[in-house]
Order: sequence, then C-alpha cells, then structure tokens
Amino acid sequence: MAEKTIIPFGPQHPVLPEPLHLDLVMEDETVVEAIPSIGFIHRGLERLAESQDFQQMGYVAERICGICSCIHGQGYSQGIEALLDMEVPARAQFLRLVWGEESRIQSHLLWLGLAADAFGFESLFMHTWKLRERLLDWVERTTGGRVIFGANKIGGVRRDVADGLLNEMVADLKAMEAEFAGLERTFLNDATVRSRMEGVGVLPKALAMASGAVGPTLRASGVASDTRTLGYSAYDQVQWQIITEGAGDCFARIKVRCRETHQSFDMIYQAVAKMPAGPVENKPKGFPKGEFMARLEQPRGEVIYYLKGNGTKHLERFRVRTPTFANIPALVSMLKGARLADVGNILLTIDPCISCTER
Amino acid sequence: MAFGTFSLTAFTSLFKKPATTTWPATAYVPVAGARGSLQFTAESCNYCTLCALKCPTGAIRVDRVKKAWTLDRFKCIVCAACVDACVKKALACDPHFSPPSDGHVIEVYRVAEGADGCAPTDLKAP
Amino acid sequence: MRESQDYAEIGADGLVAEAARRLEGNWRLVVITALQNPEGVEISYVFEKAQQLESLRLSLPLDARTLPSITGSYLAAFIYENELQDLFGVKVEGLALDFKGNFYMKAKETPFIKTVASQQPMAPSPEATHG
Repeated sequence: MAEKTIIPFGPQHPVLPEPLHLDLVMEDETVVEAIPSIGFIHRGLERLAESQDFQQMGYVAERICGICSCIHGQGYSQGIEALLDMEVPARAQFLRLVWGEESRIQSHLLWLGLAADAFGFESLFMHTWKLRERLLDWVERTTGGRVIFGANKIGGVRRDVADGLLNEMVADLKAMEAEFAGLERTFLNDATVRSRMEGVGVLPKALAMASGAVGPTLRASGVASDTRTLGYSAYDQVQWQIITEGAGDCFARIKVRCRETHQSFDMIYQAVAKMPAGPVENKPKGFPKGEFMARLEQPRGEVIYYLKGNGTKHLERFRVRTPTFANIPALVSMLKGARLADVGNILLTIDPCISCTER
Repeated sequence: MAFGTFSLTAFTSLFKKPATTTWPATAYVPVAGARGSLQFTAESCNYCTLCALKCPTGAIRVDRVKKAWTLDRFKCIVCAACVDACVKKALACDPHFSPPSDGHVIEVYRVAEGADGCAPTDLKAP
Repeated sequence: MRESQDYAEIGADGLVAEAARRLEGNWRLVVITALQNPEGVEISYVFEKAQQLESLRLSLPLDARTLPSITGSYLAAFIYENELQDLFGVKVEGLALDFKGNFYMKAKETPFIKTVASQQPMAPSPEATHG
C-alpha cells in the first residue's frame, strides 16, 4: 500500500505564467488528487464598477489581463452597447474582428512558446516568441499599444486604420504565416515533443462536456463548440469553421491551437479584403439600464460579461466569468492519475490565465 | 515521428541577424503611432478640467483657480482618454516611453504671476 | 443581435429538482453569478442550449443565506458555489468539493457583501476628481 504525500505546486513555478496553487496528493510518482487554491491575483476589479463611471470602466476591463486584453475590452463594450441599445458601424465591426484575431494569434504563439519551454525545448520557445514580437509591432502600429491594445470603446473602435496600412500588414502577415508553418512542423512532428505530449492528460469527450470545459480544451476532446458562431463582430461575414480534434490529450490541444492560428490568419485576410468604408464609432447616449450577458470567444474559450445597470452612470454589477475559471474542474480531472513530471505540462495545456480567473 | 525537425531552423538562424537590438548602444526607435508617454502643451490649455475628470487613475489634477495642471507619471497608464477628451488639443501621445525615475516626481505646469508662459517645475510629492 | 436572455424566478427548495431536469434536457451550466441588492443577495443560475440562455433567479435575505448545492447534477458547479461561499457568505449545503471558505485566499471575509450600515456604493476617491 503506497503512502500518500502532499506536494505543493506553485504559486511560483517555472511553467506558470501567473501564480496558482495546487496541492497534489501523491502516491509515489502518481497524482491521486489535485486541490486548487486561487486568490493570488484577486484585485476585486468587479467592485470598481461601482465607483468608476461606465465609460472609465472600459479602461479597467481592458486591464483585467495582459494576454487577453483586446477581447476583454471588446466584451465590455459590447455589453454596454447592448444595454444602451446602440449599433456599431460596419467598419468598426471588421476592425474589431481583425484585432480580435490578432489577439488570438499572439496569445496562441505565446502559449506555444510556453508549452515548448515547459517541456524544455527552449530554443523553440525563443523562436516562437520572436515571431510573436513581429506581430506585436503591427499591433502597436495600428492600435497604439503592444500588450494593452486600447482599441475598443463604447460605440466602436478608438482609431481608424488606413486601407494602405492594412494591406501592408496583410503582406507581412503572409510572410509570418509561412514562418509559423516552419515552427509548426517541429511542434507537430518532432519526436521529443510527441513523446512528452501524446497520451498525456487525456480528457474524454463525455467528461469534457460534464465538467463544463470551454475553448480549445473542449474542442480537442471532439466537441464542436465555439462562441464565435453567435455571429458578433463580423464573424458571420467571414468563412471559418470550428476546429476539433478527437484524442483529447495534450498533443490534440497543441494541434487545435496550431490550426486555429492558421485559421485566424485566414480570417484577417478575408476581413481586410472585405473591409467596408465608413465611420468607426457611434456616440453613446444615455446611461446603461437593464441587464445583459455578452458572450465572446477568448483565445482560451468562452468568456461571459454580465452587466447590470440601473440608469445611473455607475453599473450595479459587473461580473466576468473567464474561460480558465470554467476549465478548473476539467483540470482537476485531468490531473488524476498523472505522473508528477507531467503536471506542469497538463496544467499548461488548458492555457491558464489566472489574472483573468481571479479578476 | 520525425527526428531533428528543428535543425533547419537552428542552422539558418546562425546566418540571420539577431532579433534583439544592442540597447543602449543603439537608440530605441519607437513604432510610429505608439502610445508611449503623455505630452502636454501648456500654452493651449484652458483649464476646463475635462482631462482630469476622464482620467481613470486620477493621474491628472487641474486647479482652475490657480491655473496649475499636474501630472503624476507613476499613475498614468497612457490610455489616452485625456487626449480624446481635450477640446484644445493640448495633450498628445509621444511614441517614446517616459524615462525611468528613481524618485516620485509630480510634474506641475503653472502660469507664473504676471508672465504669459508656462514652465514645468518639479515638486517632490509628500 | 441580442439573443433572448430570459430568466425565471425559483425558490431554493425547487433548485435541485430543476437542475436535474435541466441536465436531462442537455442544458449546459454556464455560470452562477450573484449580486447584492437592498433585499439581500440575488443569485442567477444561467443555462445554455443551442445558443439560447435561460436563467433561474432566486433571492436570499442577508440573515438567511443558505442554498442546496447542485453538484449532484452539475459537478462543475463546485467552483461557482465555492465562490458564492467565499465572496458572498452564502452557505451551500451538500457541496461535492467543499473548500469551506478557503477557495479564494483573501484578506477579508465576504468582501463582496457591503454591511447594512454602508449600503451606498463606494464614493469615488478624491484623486479621481479635479484638485
């Protein structure tokens, strides 16, 4: 009968981009149970909505997290626009799609680099992030910020981008996609990557659905569910499809994110080709009243913004349910029966963004 | 399963120039259009205080009576809400980042008695 | 494009049966969210099927904040119910995975509940206004 020990994992750990604590109940080298503990980055941002007026709150919402910043700002703006019952001009919708997909590419590239670093392939990590820097330079040129895009506002987007600059960006993105294909060959074929990732951390389809997983974690287990099918922004006007894989292990999650990156590049090319002319913002009038849930697809999965206004300039409640929060039960089930050396890899494949989880 | 898929990338990177720059030996060239740091033109300001009201962090304080405009760079998140709000176009984003500072300094722009120009004076914050 | 987001009132005693019914009907639990209003704490259980959202809403007075757990049907609800315990001081009975108030590491008990004496929202800090 093996003896049980408890090994604390985190909050400081080389694989973790943000602090998270797990108590691993171990029998020899195998994890029997994992008990999560969060709260290291709890800043109480939701309570700030009561003291900041609803227009200033957009800046706070953008800064909930650095990796998913663009879509947080977009989700908040979409929620307020629904409460104010206002439309967003077509050009702004397309620009939001372009920036949202660029945000997805940079997040997936960041994650791929971290995954490579987690299993020790440091030069692949450096090359992936070098490519990401090239993308961030374009983001900075078009929006003004590298990490916090500052692109979305209530009623549209804050900046217009000239068509000439957009075409120049697309030309460079095509070169970047070719370079990404070179790195992808290593991620998907190399023996070292596959031996660490294949068959590890399997999440069967039924368990993925029952534990409420979202995003690539869910899609890698074979469930075709993507919040972009709701058709917000201009997602109903570009051709794309939901990407799924069947195996449900860490390698399937790498494959899903690689394919999604290629698809995001393609969506950007389509959006720039179809970009309509016109204004980029509508002025908001009045104060938000009523309640609404805005649902968007973050790089990590489905994010929900619940906004409740009572006709004054302060919101009554602002609640963000981020995808990593919903993936915690899936993580706990994936870790059962894993080896200690694989815990870091499995944790990283749900793409944990703890700043988002704890707001 | 393939072996050595990374060797081509690794080999060709020997012949490419480095992705990093040798700062501070070479100067940092900011990307055009970046929101680097806030620049204030005191001559255009009419002290309407709109920038201070819009600032989400409270980095800007304006004294209408004494005609003083102060900025706490440590609090400024360069969101450019004030730039969008300013009617007189007295505020703009300069692509260069503000230099690091080892003391908490609040920049004050004040119209001197009887003079028509403004010069920034640095005051140590309490 | 506002999809319908209706909500139905429910009592705390009908909650477990309703959650079991939703599970049979293939509804997915999206989020359990709470807010404080003058009557107490209002809790919404949001379910989704085929992109339609439906919420169940119930209200608890501040001095009687107890709820049965729906982790019998939806195991994933344990994260939201532990959050209700930690941030709002709602006692959830029958939780499959109960952290007993230690899910979030926080400095203050129930930080999201404002006490009766100060029901007003926080005043904007002095630095936010012009000096």
